[in-house]
Amino acid sequence: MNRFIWLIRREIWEHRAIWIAPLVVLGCLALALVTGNVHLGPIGTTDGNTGFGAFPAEMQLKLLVIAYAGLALVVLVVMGIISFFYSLDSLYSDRRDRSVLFWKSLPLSDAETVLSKFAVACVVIPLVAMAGAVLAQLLIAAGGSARLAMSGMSAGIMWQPQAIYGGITIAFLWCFTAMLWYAPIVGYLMLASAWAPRGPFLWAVLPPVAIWVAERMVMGSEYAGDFIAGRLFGLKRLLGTTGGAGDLSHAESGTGVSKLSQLDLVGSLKEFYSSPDLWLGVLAAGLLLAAAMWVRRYRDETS
Amino acid sequence: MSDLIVARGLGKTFGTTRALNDVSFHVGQGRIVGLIGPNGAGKTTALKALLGLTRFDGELSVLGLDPYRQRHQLMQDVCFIADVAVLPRWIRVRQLIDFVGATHPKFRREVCEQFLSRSDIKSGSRVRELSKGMVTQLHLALVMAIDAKLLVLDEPTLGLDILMRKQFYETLLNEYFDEQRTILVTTHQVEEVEHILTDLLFIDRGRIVLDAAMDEVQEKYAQVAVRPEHVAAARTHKPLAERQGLGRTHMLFRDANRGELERLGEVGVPSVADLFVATIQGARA
Repeated sequence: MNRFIWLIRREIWEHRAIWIAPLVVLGCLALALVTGNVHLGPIGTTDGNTGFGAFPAEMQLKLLVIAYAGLALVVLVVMGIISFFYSLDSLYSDRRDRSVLFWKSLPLSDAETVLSKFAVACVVIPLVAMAGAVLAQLLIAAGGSARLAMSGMSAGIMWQPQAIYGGITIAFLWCFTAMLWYAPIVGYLMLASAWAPRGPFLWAVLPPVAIWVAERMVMGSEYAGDFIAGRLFGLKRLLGTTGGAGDLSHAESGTGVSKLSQLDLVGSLKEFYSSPDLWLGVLAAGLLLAAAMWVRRYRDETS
Repeated sequence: MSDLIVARGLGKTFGTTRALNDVSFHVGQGRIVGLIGPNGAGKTTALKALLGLTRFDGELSVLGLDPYRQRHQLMQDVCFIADVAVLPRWIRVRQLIDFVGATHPKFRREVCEQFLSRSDIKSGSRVRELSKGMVTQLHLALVMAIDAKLLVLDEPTLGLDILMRKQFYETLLNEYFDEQRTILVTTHQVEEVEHILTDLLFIDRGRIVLDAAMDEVQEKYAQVAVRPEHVAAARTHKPLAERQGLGRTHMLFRDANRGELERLGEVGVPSVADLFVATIQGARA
């Protein structure tokens, strides 16, 4: 177990983007808050009857949680990008710089190595994302309460336990769900990374695109395309059936806000977990990882 | 003396070329074996088979294990340097030592640090900031701190200047090697390793063409600087090779009578390089 932790530490030493990128995002957010250029959606507006203060307390809380969820979404997308490139590089970078034989000269099994890299992509990065989302939320709470105070309203609402915990719960559930949902993609990217003679990005991206195009041209159908898009964007179902990322941007209008307040974030999670798609994906991730281990172990580096 | 490596009928084919063809040899404990051959002779393939990095036909046992199936176990007691310049470039020296220390049960940190204290390598530097010579020193310090039974070196001094090469082998012989350890080394620069080797394995076109201990070589082979008037007489003893020198013809003999050779000219021990050239040419003729 101790060795596994060292393997993970090694990954974090090598891929510094894992902690630098969220710091940069948080830094930008803090900067925007300080310079007052950030638009906090319904929270920031005090004019007219759509202002945050005009809503009943219960509604305010719900809106806060939704705003935090939106924030978590941004962090998640950033981490998704990091995870994508990390996975693609994970079993290729040491082959590119030819240090793979050095790593293989240590008494570590290839299965351990592959698993440690998978754990970074699927556990460490989401955990960092979660911490980032919570930090961002606290930043917003601080910035939001300063705004409310400036407009002469009570800032207490920002620090209501329900709002804070609600935001944290959403961040946690989403990170965890995203990890399970995208595990097969991570597995696929790692397999491409282990296998690609060079340029793993093309090796990973071209086959699905080629299958999609070929299917369209030959059979005129889009099963492959739908399958890929379903996996890539399937997570948006988490935003509930009535809402969607697009609706969040229209939240300033009165109807948007009332629509938003109907979002059932926890209910959609339940539905998500009961769908076979999620669990079939986890199974596929296991198979893809086993394949990546096999390629890593038996690939002849000099031929 | 037990055999650390036993190879019987080792074979490996890449497409239509036989990289290894019915290779059999064994290596005992406490030996320093030079695996020497021209480019493309199959040296690296043989080493990779020994290290479990490539599939092979035939029988092979290293420390009693099947290297291909039990590679992970094997690496507990085997250390190898495939090429000195391949340490990961992004890592810091301190991180590298921490990592090897945490993952290798036979790593002795104090030994490694002692080696490094004699160099200019700083523990905070990244490998990419080090000169090639320093990377080699670092790699060697790591490897020598591992209490391994078998050390495999594949062209360890490639790209190093002559001072570094000399230092490399001196450190290896004086501070690392003992009767408990075995070293297998491949190199092109035979003249630099010949004084440390105990055994020779010549390989050419996937076959072992010479397998002998150094003392055996000194007994069996003789290099004679033949005086001009004896050249014709010397040729009747069927020299393996002949080379013109300053006023003398150097001939390499195998299993020839010492007394007779001494009448032809000055008798000496052939260099590994001369022996190598003669053996390879003989094998190909």
